[in-house]
Amino acid sequence: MLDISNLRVRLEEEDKVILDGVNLHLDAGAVHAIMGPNGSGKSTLSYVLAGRDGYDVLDGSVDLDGQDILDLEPEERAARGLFLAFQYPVEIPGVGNMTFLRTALNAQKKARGETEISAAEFLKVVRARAKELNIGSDLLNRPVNFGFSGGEKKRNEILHMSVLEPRMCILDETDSGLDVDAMKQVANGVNALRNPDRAILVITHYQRLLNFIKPDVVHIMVNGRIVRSGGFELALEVEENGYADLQGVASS
Amino acid sequence: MSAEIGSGDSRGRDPEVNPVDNSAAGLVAETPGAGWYLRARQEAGLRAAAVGRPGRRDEYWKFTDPAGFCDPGAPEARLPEEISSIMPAEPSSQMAHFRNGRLGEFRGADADGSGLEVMPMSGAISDPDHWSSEIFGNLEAAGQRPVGRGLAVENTRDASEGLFVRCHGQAPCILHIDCRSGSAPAGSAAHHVIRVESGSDLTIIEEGSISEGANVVFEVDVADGGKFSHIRVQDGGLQSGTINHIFARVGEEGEFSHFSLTANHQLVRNECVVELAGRGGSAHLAGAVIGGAESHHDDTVLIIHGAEGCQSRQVYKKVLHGGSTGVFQGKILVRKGAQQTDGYQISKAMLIGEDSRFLAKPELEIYADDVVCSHGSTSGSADAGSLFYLRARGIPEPEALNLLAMAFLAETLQEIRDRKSAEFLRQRIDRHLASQSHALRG
Repeated sequence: MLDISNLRVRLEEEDKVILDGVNLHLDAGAVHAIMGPNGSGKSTLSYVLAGRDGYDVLDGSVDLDGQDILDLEPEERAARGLFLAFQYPVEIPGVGNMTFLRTALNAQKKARGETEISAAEFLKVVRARAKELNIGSDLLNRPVNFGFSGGEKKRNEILHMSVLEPRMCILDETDSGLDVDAMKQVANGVNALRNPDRAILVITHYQRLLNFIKPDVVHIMVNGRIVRSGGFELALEVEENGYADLQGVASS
Repeated sequence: MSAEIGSGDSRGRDPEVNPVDNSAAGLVAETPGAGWYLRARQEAGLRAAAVGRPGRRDEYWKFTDPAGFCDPGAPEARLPEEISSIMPAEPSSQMAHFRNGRLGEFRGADADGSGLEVMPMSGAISDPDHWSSEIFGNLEAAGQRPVGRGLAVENTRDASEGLFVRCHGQAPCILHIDCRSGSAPAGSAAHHVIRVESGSDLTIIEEGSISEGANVVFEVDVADGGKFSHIRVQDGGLQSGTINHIFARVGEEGEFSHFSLTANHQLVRNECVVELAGRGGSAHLAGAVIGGAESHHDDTVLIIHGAEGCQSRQVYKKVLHGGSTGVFQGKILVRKGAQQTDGYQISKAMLIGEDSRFLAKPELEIYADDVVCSHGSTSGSADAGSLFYLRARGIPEPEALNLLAMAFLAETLQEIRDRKSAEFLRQRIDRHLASQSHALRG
């Protein structure tokens, strides 16, 4: 589903290469995790995949379902089924969460040439999904992320993911700032969305989120490259030994 | 600008109703009206001569060219039909319609015993003992210091239409001034005089404009413990300059609030002068502006803290694109002895694209020493992180900017006491933004 090939990226305003030849392949139905120390390029990868400004792609390609998406606008990528759950979801005072989500869903449907969803039908869908994720109606009725706690923001991201039904989900440090209970709730939400048509890429510092979202493959990213890949045991190894041992692999 | 201005303080009441010689003040000799009214207009004539018309070199008009505001008597113009009204008439509300620049029918003075008396200018000014004789022209005259406001004086001198409104009931009253259609000579003037008695609560919702290039003055006297709210919606797509003035005096524990939505007009200047004259009074002013198509929208505010323990807030936000200009001049003046003053002022602009501009002049002038006053002014483009968040969810850039603009303006709506009106205005703003979204590009 997602093919990243030799992706090299630098910051537009600095002459600094952040991603230095990333290769990654995810099949439909797979759950992969990328772990790595601070500054290894994990979040940059998520931003570049989603189409954020400020990065120069020097080399390589990113294919989603066989089509290169690097020249597409962020909204075009979203319409093709790419979803990024943000590390820091943005507060938008004055815009209701439901209004926002319906605008997003209908924009995607319009871009795909599908019929837009009616307000009544949308309400039904959102309420059902919110119930599954144990999200109260107050969160639906408040402005987007405005005044939400850290846990509420992350649960709201998962609600957006659930309603928008993307095929390729990227979760950027979804565990940051969450206590164990909140993390479990978020993980349960993500697990409920696992299915054979959908691939999920979980980006995290720590192994603990992966206790709740069991990945099929774990990748370690250091200095803008994936230096090792393996099963869940690789996450346990990192938890045990830290990233220090792996820095050498990157520079060798 | 000239310093000597006729004060109007010496005016007494005269029961006689007859014409006087107004030629010195440039008035028509046969103007009908009670003695107090004729004298007030004569004084306005003298004041107008002393103050003069504003000029481009006046500091107070640094950001807005006064030449854009119409002279009375310009050719008649058809007013556009405006979109739906801000709120349906409620049982407790009264409606006054202006059509073709003139006041049409409305329910009579205190017809339902609600404590709301509404009278057209023609009726009020022929009453030798009318309550408004203590207000008409006086609040405007007081507002000529420290800066002359020549267009307001001209209004006092020339306006032949207006509502004289007195609220003395115990239940909250609403008056809806509806000027949403018709045709009228450009440059028509209306002069409204409002008195809110102690313990009464009046909301005036003013929608539309009496004409192209209108000149509108409100004089508002809020007695001790009275509450007055004013909501102005001006978004009918007019081409000529509209000039509005509000001159308010607020008594002890009195409350004054004002909100204006300005969109879709080519040239507007809203001036508000509010004097907090009694202990514990408050003034909350807010405005939301959507500029576009090279429009020019100016909000100019002076809050005078003249007594102890008063509170004031000014919250103005402008979304500017399409080569438009937003102006905010806001001043908090704290007089000697006005201790425990709490004054707050913020003006912000969201600039979409690179061809619009926001010109702000926040001022504090403080002559008391136990005072908390703050002011701030910012302008910038839409937040890149927020824009990316919206786009990454699938919302195309123009729509995403729309939502961010809505979010930006929403803060001003929180200043409105009545949540129903606030919600209606939110929808109105939403509609304006949606209609312009094709023009929005970051």
